[in-house]
Amino acid sequence: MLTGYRFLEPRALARVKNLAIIARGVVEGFISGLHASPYKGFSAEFAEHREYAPGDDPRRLDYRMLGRTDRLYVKEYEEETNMRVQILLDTSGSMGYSYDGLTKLQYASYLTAILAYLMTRQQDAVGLTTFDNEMRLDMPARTSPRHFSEMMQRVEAIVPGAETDIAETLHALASRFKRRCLVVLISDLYDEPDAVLRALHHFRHRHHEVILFHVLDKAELEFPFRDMVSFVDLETNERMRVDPAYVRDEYRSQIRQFVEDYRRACADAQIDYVLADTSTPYDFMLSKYIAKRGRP
Amino acid sequence: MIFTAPMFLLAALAAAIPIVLHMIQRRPAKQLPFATLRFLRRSAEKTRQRKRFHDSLLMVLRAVVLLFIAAGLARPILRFQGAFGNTSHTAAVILLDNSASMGIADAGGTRFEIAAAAASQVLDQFTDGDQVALMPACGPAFPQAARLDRNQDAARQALSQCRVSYERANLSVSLRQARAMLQKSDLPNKRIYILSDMQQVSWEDEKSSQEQVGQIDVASPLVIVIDCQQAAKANAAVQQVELKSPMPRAGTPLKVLSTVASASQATQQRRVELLIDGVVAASSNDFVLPPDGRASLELTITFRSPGLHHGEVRLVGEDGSKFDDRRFFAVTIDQAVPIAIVKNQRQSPAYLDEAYYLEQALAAAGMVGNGTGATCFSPAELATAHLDPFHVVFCVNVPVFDPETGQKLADYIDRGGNMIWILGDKVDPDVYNRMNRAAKERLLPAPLIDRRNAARQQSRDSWHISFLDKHHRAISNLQEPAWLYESVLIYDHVRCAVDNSGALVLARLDDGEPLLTEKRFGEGRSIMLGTSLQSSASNLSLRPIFLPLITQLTRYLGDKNTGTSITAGQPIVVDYPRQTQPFSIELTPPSGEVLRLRTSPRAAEKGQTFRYPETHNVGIYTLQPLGSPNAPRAISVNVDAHESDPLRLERQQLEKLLQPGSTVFADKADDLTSTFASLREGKSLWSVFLIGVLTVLILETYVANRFTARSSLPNSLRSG
Repeated sequence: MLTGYRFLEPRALARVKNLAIIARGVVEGFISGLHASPYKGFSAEFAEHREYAPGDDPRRLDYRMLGRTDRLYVKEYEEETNMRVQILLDTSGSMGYSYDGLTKLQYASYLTAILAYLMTRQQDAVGLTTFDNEMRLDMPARTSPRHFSEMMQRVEAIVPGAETDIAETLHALASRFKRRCLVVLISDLYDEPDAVLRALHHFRHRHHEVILFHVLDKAELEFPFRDMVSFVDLETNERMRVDPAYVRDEYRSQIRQFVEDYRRACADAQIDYVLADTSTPYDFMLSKYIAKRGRP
Repeated sequence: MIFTAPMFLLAALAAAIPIVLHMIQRRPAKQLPFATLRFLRRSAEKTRQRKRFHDSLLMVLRAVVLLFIAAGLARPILRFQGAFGNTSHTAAVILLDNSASMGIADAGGTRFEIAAAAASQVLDQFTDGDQVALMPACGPAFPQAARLDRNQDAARQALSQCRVSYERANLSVSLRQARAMLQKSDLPNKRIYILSDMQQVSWEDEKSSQEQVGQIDVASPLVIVIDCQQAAKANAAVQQVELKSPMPRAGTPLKVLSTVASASQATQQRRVELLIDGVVAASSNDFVLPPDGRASLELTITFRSPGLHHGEVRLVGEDGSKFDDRRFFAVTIDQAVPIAIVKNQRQSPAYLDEAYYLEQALAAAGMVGNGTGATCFSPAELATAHLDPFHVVFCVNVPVFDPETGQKLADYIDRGGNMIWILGDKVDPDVYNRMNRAAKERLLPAPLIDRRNAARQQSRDSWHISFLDKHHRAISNLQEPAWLYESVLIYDHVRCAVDNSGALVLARLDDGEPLLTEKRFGEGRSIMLGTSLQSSASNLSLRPIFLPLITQLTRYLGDKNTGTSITAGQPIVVDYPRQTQPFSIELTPPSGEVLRLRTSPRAAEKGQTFRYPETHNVGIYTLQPLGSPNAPRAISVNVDAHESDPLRLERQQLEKLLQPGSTVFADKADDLTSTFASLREGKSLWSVFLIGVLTVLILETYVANRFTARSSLPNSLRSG
């Protein structure tokens, strides 16, 4: 069913689909046995009894069975509540940059598709919001395959837009989400860092879990240019003549500081920060992240 | 510096190319989209200054490269002042270092042999019309060769006759003489050739004069330095020989202390022998001499016969140099000192005599000859006595002299006589002060104050000696421990006022009062002991310190010239202040040849002096006065210990001492062809410029790539 979509490469999914996202916070709608949820067992269908084992929650003991058989059994449920995931995809002009290979937007789109597929497969509700300096697309979170198909079609149609205004969009979304959900932000974060971080704090303040995929091209990190170059800003069309040899070290220092500032601020706010270098295979990056997240 | 192909200097205009390019060039830039310019903007702002500096530095380096290439193509040549390859004649002085250190045998022969061969090469390059002088730095002079002369045969002859001396060179003085000589020459080219082993001690004077007066005037002639030292062999030197005995006597063991120093970086196993009168008298065990180390050796000999003996400490075996393997000394055994004692009427029994213990001590020490005793005078006899033959006159507790006798004693001291005053109970301080004033205060070391007697003191019954000036030459050889002289008790003594008197205090009592004082008057000395030798006044004469003290004082006063040692090249100068008329002296140098020479009157002073400057050989020089009561003397002449010092003056140091820019160092002492060629034609500098080009190119490459080196991405920026 899913193999026809452009952004879902079977090779990538083969490596990722057996891994699961393990959230750290208390979020409603988590998959049974994998997510700690305040609504665990609520409105879920009974599947079978299982003999009690040390470590099982005593609240799940079936006292009727105890009375009838004088043995300890716990109730197993088919499924419990679902997680709501909202993917926020930055489609600003700077996301259209590519030194050699995929643009950052293409890379971000792959990432969006993979995440959406995983969530859908786990019966989680997935939504998508794209934005540049304003919100361009807003699909609320649903679990149906049809919704997923529609989402993929929309993602395929995305083109880089205007200048970025991440902070404003995030604030608007944070105010709008009523139920606790997992917010996945995919962006190059070329906005004022303080404003962006304030907006991310806004999500955290409302008890949403946030995962931040910071998508950057390798050329943006390493600045490999050699000869004299006239750089054109993808968002503003501004031009700047630079001898890369002179500015390379200083540029690297600046970008390193930029990344480190985000990494540190996200750690402080209990936001998962993932630097996504477009030269790194996205499936590799994602599986590595999920494996890391699953560690106790 | 001149350029033999100056047309190529036009190529230096190419140096303007980088500058022009730097000013006008705007490198083409390809357009590339980029995600954001925010970091680039900040980075460019921060690196703007560095880029400007870097670009300017590159521009300068590239211009310098082009300048160096142009200069190198123009074939630059460095010609030394006074060394132009013209046909003008040359005045040259060859300074030949023939000091003792030049006798050291390096790997290629002795340094002097190398220097002589080099001097011969130098002489060969001169043509008719050139003026040449050859000046050996030491040893016998060659007057014919030591002046500028167009006839170069005298220089060649002097070179063939010149030998290594035992003397120390003073190349600074020789250099000044050479400069003075060249200043008088009217030839246009002036040069000084210095052939030396560059031993630092040979230039000590120049170093000190440079520090005082600064650099030499700019008109100094060209100096060509030819270093004749090659890889040195292991070497050791006998640096010092010292006799440890206050008064050597026949039959009494005499210690000879010698110091052997290593003058190389090799460990050596050596042995020394002690020769007395040419016969081996003692020998040391083998000892190890570490690199640059020293060894002190003690050999003991016992002389069987009195008189003057010649001694020599000699290193056994061969090393880099022979000249410093021997050190000579002379020693007089059982030396009799003419002594007179002035005392009051003889007392009986003998031990009550005031000079009894003194006479016994002098006889025991052998100071008064073989049983002849000291000559004794009463105060009355002193008025008519002839004092000049006596080296020392003791005046023991004499109450008073008449003014004429006092003046006579003052004159005696002034002419070189020596008095020792022993102040007993008959001495009245006031009387002595009057007598001293009558003799214009040239009798006593210090005016007397009063007499003190311990029995009249309330707090004590005696004083003791608490201080002896062991640094004073008169008693420096006293080996006795302190407790020995501290046990000397004084019951009665005369105080004296040494302050402002100019007198030296040799011994003090425990309350600080001077007991033994000394002062020099004219050629002689006066020593004053503030107490008597009688047991009622002190126990000094009964203590073990008495004999060595009297011996030391007597020897100090009466035998000051025995065993004199000088270094080779220094003149022998002996004064005879008591001799009014010239007299003959038989001088026997180490060669054995006997020379009869005359003394001459001393300039501006009474007496005669004997001077002999030709001490070029090491060994013992004996002086036998003829028709004079003066005793024979022996003077040991040794090589200057500094000649063994391996410390060299390096090129930079010497160039600094001479004149930078007009000093040329020969490449090889044994082949001066290239040196002469560079003097004639100048030194080509194209290789220097080539090295400069290569160096600047390397620097340019480094600077150009300094900012383009790619560094890896830090780990913190790895994705995931």
